[in-house]
Amino acid sequence: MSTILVFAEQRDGLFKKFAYEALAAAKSLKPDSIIAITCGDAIEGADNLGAYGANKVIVLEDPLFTLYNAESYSNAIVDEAKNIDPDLIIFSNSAMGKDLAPRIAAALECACVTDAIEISGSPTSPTTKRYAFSGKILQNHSIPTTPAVISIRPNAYGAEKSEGNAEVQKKVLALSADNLKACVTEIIKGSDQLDLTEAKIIVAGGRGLKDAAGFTIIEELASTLGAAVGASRAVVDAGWRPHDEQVGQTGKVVSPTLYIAVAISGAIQHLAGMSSSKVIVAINTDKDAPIFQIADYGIVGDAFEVIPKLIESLKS
Amino acid sequence: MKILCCLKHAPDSTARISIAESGKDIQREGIDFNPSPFDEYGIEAAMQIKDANKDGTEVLILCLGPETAQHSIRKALAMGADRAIHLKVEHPIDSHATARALSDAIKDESPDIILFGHQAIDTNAGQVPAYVSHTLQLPLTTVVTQLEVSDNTVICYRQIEGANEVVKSTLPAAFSCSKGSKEPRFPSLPGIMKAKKKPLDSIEVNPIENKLILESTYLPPKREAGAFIGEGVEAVDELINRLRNEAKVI
Repeated sequence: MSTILVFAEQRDGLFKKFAYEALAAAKSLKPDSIIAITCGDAIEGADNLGAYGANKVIVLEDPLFTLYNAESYSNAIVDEAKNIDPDLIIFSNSAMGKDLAPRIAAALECACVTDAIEISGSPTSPTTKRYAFSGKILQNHSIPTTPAVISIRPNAYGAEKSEGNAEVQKKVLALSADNLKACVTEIIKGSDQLDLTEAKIIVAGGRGLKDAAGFTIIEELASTLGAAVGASRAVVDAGWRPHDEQVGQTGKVVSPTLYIAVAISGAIQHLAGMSSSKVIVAINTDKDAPIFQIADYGIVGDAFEVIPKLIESLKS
Repeated sequence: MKILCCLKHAPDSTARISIAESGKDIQREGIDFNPSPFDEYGIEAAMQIKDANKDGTEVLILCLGPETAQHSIRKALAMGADRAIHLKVEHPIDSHATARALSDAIKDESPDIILFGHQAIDTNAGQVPAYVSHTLQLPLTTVVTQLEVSDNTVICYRQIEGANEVVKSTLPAAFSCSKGSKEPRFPSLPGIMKAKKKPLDSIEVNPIENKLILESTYLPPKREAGAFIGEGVEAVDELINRLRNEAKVI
């Protein structure tokens, strides 16, 4: 009987879409059983995970789990994994998942593939496809031993809701913080804007916007579309935008449904970070800019004329 | 205080990557290799602690890689690190095997702080820090963009979706660094001259077996250039039409 253990990420008691995506990846391998595991305090909607593919949900609750803690989360997951003895453990490659996956692999002394875009084969002998060199190449790996740990890239699998119920098993732990060596003490929220890795649409700006104030039109278009704001490396290095908005090899690698590159010429480091987007739109004054080589739709024109018109037309 | 920075000698981020004849690796000849950029953020963080500490902080570079990796090691020394250890392995090995070799070397040094890049610019795996800290039983905080040391404690910022987690860690500890507010310094000319004379120990390593089997390496399907919709504001309505009705993404 094949079993896949899926880490279902929550923050503030609510499941993240990463949890549903990881369940979709597990479901695609058709195992006999999918067990979701989640760590938190006062978690809502655990039974809903059944509709996304979980047969069983193990809810580990402790006040210490309110904020993410690498050490206590991994210890708890490892304890459960040792009991369940799954063939495969799936995480999302979110900030939390990418932190946990190799820790769990280390503790279970098993193989691990991070940031996979596809898992195929069977739960007991999976093969993975992933980008390396920030999108410049693809690699296929096979994992000859069980269990295997795999984290999947956000947006690579869409959440799939259907019918289904999960048995929920809640375990209230009584953990002590005394032996923890590293703890999150607070969370400092950034702007209210959507994060790049979570966004379905990204509007990114480059040096062609002339200065930091030039990003006003990018922000406005992003808010019209419900999109996240991205930036090229040049713009971040110039201090116009914060570094967590940088798309590219030394920033974030993203795969949104729609990527709108505005006044970005398309340096190889930038292209590596966004060329796996589903649809790419480029708007640039230079018709020979490399970004047009990979764009699905291109407009040659001045961003300061085209973007305000685009916002106006989208709103009407 | 002793700070150990792990360093990977990796293809430069501007390198055009092609596939080797074996179909399993990239073509390693004819491209530039340099310190992996995220590792340089770690070295910069170490140098800032060293600059602030008058009582003497030693910054040590640990690099696993082929003979040619000495190019990146000398660059790190030119940034101001004091000495380096080179674990010589001619062929690429997986994260587990790398971590084992690094851990063995780190044990002998017992640093107060271990710094990594949060992932290498080539494999993008981000696994080595977790394996090393597990083996050495040290706390690890990943994807750190800011780090401050005071009284045997580190307060650091860890980047998550749309926010930062503030993490307080005891020492000794490990941290994996990402791009933060401070750009890595450029080596000065005197720094480059001094680096040539700094101690560099080379050790031959017999790596353990890989856990992962790399079946194939290939280039992604080439994205075809699409359609120019037109020029200037006249093209906007057609773009919206295509996005709504053809691509169906808005």
